[in-house]
Amino acid sequence: MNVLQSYLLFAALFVLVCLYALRHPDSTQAGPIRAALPGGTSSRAPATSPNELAAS
Amino acid sequence: MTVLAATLASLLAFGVQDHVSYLWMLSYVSAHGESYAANHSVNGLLQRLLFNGENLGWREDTYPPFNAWVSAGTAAASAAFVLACLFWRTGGRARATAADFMLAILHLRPGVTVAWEHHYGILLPCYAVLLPTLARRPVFGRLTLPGLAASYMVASNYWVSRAGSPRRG
Repeated sequence: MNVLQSYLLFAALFVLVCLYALRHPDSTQAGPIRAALPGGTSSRAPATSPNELAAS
Repeated sequence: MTVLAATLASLLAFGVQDHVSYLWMLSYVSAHGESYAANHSVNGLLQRLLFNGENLGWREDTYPPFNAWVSAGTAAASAAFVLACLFWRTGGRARATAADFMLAILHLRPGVTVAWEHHYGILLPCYAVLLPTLARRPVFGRLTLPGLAASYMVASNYWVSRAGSPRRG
């Protein structure tokens, strides 16, 4: 029971694991969190030329 | 500049002795920690695992006795959290993401000596961001959203009955 008193710690640890999984660069499922947010961008290098911007 | 101005104003208002005493207090609390149930840090977990000090009743004038195992475990956990946040799989990106920001904030909670319940209020915006994100990218498959829901249910409720007096902020 003493361990269960730290329930907030365990909830926060789960959130931390999720954040680490989302930040994992090699994960095909996860990817950067910004890409999943509304209006977010991916982690690829930003387009620099007008053609590249138009294609994106 | 703001910190310098605030420090000078505080020194003028309260004097040097109070500031030296506050540093002593910080050192004392860092060494002894807190076993009270409202402390949801690694330090609190270790204190209660070893039955060091009282964990159900609140005593504002008493801290648990110094325990070398708790102190070492807290220091190790703090170092692990900070190092993981800074160096573990940054992906080589120059720009920080929202995930990096939330990780940095969240790592300060379990890694410090004392983290009261209200210090975990930062979890609410984290859940607000994670819900749509994990719905699109379920990092743990079908268990992702149920796991997030369980975590939110745990974090958003009081689960421990206590007989102590009101906590300090």
